[in-house]
Amino acid sequence: MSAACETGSWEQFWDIEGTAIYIVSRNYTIITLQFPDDLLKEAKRVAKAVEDACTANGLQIQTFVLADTTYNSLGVDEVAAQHASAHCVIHYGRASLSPLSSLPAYFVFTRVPLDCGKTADRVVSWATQEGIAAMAGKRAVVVLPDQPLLWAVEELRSCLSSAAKKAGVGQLFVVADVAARQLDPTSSATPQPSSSDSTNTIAHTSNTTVHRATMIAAQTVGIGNGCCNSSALSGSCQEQPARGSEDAGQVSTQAAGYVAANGPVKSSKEEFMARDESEMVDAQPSSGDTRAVREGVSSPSSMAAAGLVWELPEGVDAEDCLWLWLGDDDAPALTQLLMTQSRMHWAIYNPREDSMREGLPSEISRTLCKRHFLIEKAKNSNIIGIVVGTLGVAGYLEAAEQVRKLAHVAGKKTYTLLMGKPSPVKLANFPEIDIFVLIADAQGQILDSKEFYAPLITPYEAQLAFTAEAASVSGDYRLDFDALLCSAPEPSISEQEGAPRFSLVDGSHYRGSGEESAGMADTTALSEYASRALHVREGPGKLAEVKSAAQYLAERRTFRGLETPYTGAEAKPVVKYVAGRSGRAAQYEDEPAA
Amino acid sequence: MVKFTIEQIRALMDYKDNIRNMSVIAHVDHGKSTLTDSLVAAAGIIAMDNAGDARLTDTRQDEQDRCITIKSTGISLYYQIEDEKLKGFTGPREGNDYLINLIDSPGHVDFSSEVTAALRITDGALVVVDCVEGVCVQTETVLRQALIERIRPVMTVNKLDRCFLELMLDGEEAYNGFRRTIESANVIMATYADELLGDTQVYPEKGTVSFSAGLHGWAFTLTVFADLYAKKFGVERVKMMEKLWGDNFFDPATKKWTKKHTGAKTCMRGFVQFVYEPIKTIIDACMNDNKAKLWAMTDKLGISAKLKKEDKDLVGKPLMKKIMQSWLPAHEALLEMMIWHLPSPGIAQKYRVENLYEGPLDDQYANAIRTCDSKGPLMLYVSKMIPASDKGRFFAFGRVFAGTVCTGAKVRIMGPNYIPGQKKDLYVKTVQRTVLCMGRRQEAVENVPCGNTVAMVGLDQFITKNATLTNEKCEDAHPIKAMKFSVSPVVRVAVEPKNPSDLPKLVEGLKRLAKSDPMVQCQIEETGEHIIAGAGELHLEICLKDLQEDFMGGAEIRISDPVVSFRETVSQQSDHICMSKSPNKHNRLYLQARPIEEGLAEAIDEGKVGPRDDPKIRSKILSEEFGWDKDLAKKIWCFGPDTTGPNLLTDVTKGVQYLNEIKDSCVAAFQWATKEGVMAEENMRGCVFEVCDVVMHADAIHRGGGQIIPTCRRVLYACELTAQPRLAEPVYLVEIQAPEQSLGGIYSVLNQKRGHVFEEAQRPGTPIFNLKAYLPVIESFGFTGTLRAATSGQAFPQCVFDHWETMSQDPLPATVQLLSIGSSAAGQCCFCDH
Repeated sequence: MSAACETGSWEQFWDIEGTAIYIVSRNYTIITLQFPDDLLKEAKRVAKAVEDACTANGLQIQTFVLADTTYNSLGVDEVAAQHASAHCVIHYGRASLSPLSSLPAYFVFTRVPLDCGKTADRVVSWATQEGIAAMAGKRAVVVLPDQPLLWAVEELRSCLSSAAKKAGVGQLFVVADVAARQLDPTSSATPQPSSSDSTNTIAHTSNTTVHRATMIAAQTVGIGNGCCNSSALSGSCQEQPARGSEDAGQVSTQAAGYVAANGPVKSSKEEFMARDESEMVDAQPSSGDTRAVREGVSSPSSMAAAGLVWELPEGVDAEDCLWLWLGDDDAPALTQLLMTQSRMHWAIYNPREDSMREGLPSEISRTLCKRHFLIEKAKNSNIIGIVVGTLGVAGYLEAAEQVRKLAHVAGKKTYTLLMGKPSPVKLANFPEIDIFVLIADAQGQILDSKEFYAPLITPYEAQLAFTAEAASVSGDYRLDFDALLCSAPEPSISEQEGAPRFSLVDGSHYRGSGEESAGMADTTALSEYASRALHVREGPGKLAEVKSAAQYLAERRTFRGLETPYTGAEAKPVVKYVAGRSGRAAQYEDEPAA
Repeated sequence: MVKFTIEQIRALMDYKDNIRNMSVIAHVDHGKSTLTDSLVAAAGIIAMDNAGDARLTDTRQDEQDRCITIKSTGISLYYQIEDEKLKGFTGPREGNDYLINLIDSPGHVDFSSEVTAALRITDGALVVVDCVEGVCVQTETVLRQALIERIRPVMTVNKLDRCFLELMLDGEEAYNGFRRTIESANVIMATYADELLGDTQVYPEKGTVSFSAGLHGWAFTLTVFADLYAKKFGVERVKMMEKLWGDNFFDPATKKWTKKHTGAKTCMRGFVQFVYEPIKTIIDACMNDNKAKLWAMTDKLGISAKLKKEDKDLVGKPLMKKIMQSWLPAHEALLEMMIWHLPSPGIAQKYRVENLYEGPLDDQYANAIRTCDSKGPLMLYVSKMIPASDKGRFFAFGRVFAGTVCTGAKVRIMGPNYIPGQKKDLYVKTVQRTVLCMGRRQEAVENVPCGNTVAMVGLDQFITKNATLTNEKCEDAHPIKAMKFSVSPVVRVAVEPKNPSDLPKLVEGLKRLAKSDPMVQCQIEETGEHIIAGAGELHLEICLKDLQEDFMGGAEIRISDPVVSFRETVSQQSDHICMSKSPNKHNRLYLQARPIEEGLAEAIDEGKVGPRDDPKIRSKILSEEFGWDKDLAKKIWCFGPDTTGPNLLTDVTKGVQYLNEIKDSCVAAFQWATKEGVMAEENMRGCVFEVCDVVMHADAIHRGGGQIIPTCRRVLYACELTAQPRLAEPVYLVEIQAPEQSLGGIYSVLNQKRGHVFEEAQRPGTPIFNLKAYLPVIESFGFTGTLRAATSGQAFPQCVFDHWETMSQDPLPATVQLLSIGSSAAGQCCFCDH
């Protein structure tokens, strides 16, 4: 790779050593390597190098390469990995670092060249010029590097501080680092590597069921505490299985063992295991590094977003900072950061093109406006499709369940759809569905649903749309579904009695939620009754309205156009069948070649 | 000194023959509100002295400040007519007490929707025309609306004082002016004549035209003078009236009536001799302070007795006002004309029922409306919402067509989207209070029987703009037809709160604004912007002011520049048949686009051709009027966007398999594509898409909606792009009245704004020119101001949306090329920007 010379050796580019240490220390033997499409060409060489490195460390491993990820290449494809009965996933390229549900993963972010000195100069000069421009209140600059630039964080820090000293700037420069280079599933029940220990083998075979149970248990605790701290969570994770089966007990002991073993190796990384935001709760709950946890608790100014963590200086609010993105303009993490922190003062520096852009990009503010419209539209929708857009991110099942509950409380019908990567073609097969809720992690959301027949919204938006209006305008926009998990599904009966809701989408009134759901229950009961009766009379001189699924199909899915025979045009004559085309659909045989 | 009590009014409401519901309609500044004042003064609500100045029906502060009516305002008047005046009146009546429910409407074209709402709940209309300016564009618009609603008109030629004081016209000139005005009004009425409504022409000699000076509070019909002279000449009143209008000349020297001017100096037209001259003499006497002559005249006319002592000390205009008010009180002439010539609800509803009721015309509801039966089932139409004094609440204002609405009664509210038999847009709620509107005041009453206007409290949460109310149990009732407005909301602005946290306030404010105006549209767009759409600049200005001051609790908003939405259309047939393959490559659609026949898009807009027509009738219209092939006309799949728009999807295939199964997918794609065109994501207009051929996979699973909808949408876009697409912009019809010297300024402003004049005519007998021009809506912002500046305030334009004009320019710049992807089969088109 050409980049290799600037960013270190080829091995450093692929972090072969770190990968090998991770694998060997955990004694994993079946390893899956997940590549995004653009890095796939190197897959064979990398796999070989990892195998060799592990063999050198005395562990014989078997590797599988995963490509063409089902949902998006940012997430860990746990399902595919499980097909290979893998013990862990090594994920290459940009990652969303969302919590995992069943497999541990190690992340290699690859490297993009970065001229730290030049970048630091640019950043400092921008910040000072900004300081002149009456931004006195902005006391710190938060530099958020793109994942391929994370390798240079340390160097960048020193460059920045020296550049700042040279320029005599009072502002503090905070450079964010990655939240975690390795993630364990939210439950403590990590899959067991096959080792000589026979009890472990038993645990391994039964692990699926066990960890499912413990995972849910752990999740419940996590939800109960809301934004609880990770020490409590990891504690509960250890307790929970103990009450359960014997297998699970063993599993938990095993997990604790790993933590102990793994602590010293990774300590420098785990310093950053801040857990300020709830999304980080799940990041490494099994971590036994209490130091990091304590640090996180004591310093309330540590922040995390989009897989990055950083600490603000004492007494500096997020609003007081200048926010600088370092990296490509089209990185998914940038979109997530901009969408969720749209109120901050942003600048984007692209070191590759040496271009500096200030302010929130207009397309982001436009997208945010559009989302607002979609929320309004969702309020008017009757039939909701819950599209599962991930099978890996921890808590997706609970999130789907939560959306379902909220929708039912709001008097809407839901259908849950699992269809691989959502595409306009697949979703257009459900024309009755008014709006789709995509259950996916923050960076896997489809924010531009222009091509879709019905729009897609995020779980957070669904929550805003389906709960009472009062709750809707509070706090920042979110893309992940953790907020959804935190909120309890309280049925909002407290709404004003029967008052219809005015919708700005089409300027008409809609029934209040309570009334609607009551009406719905009626029709179901009625159709059950109707299926056994010849005539249903609701009152004298009046036929009741009966609705059944078959009737619906007959009425709505059958074309009743403006023409034959209903409209009087003659029926078409019966045509004798003729031989059809033959060949492949891309080009039939009777067609001229391209 | 109110001359009547609410109890009296309530008692009168039961006598449906003694009720007149009428609206006052006219061009802007022709004096509706001023004239209304005279009537209100007669009822004793305001002092006679103030009549003409107070404009009681202009209830809002900005109406008073701008001297323009913005909202229509209802007022109920009680009038006791003398027996003598009713001599010869043959209609049914009970006693001499009459109840006049009067609605004053705005004249500015931007508020036409208010007029529509007023006309719906009245049976008669008083058309006010300025005697100098004559019949103007808005006069025509409101007259047309009235006749379409089957509202019987009477007319008053107003501002007669201008003839005497300002223009100093002599009798013959004035007569010709009046005659022309009445004739041009009659021409309009003849155009929109309605068989059931009967003869709607107005004739001064029949008493359906009055002459008035609203500002001074006097008016007369020829009846008044006929009475006066009938005794003197010893002829019948009716005969005398005929003599007082038209080509009837009288020579006092020979004391003979002739049909032609005899040429003798003393020979004068009856109208001039007996009507115009006496008034002129009195006014001259007042203005010249010729008191001796004046008192002699007043004695002769028997009005001295009505004058008080202090009145005699007045001079000039106040004196004239007093004398004329005493001699020819406006309310007597006008109210008499209304009572005589406007229908009572009982009569009017007989022929209005088929215009009103949506359901079968022989059910109990239709019958109750027809007979105006106060014992029948309730049928009440809410035509507008009136802001109540406590902020945020509204009165539902409407007309009871049948039955009786009571305080505390449970009513079924059928909204505009209600479909009989379904639960959508249907509520059952209690009327908290029923009240009468008395201009600025509201008076509570126990109940209101049919034939009357009423305002209701407690329903505002359930009614957006209008609704039909009926009894709780009347589940088979159909709603009353929705109103059709003559203007459409073409001017739009986006609003956003200055402080983002005020967003809920804005949403609440928009909700209230949407209620308070019959026309305004408040929406949230696909882009997330909050849009307010109104009929014109002034309308929007008022709406925005209301929103900011009244409906948002003082939260500040930011308002964008006005935005005009365009339409996408095609100018030629597609240069080839476009094909698109479905994502699985198993299905192919072959379509082409062509422009719609001229006039057909407008016919669809007006509802002459539509999806709900009988297909046989539709195909007949299409083949006879628009030259469609008869078979093709039967193969229209749908209209779009929103299933009613002016675009068509037709089927020209022959013997294609599975076609029926993909129709609903194609229709869905068509609705989608016509709603968001390929060029600017605007609605399409005037495009016909023809399905030429279809190749389908044999297995149904491979030709589902998921495969067909995106494919069909893509091929529709390809068709549009290959058919010389164009943008169409909305165009106003502008009518400007101005004196000759300001024409130059008008032309230069119009040129500058891409407008063009297509008609210019001088008003006979005046130096005033009447210009008609087309002006693109997008150029119209600030047009009024610029025009006034360029003509030193002498030109005043009225803009009405007229049509969509296709812009000749190719919207696709040369750098954008259409590339057809694939082999010979073009179709999957895309934009490539080089």
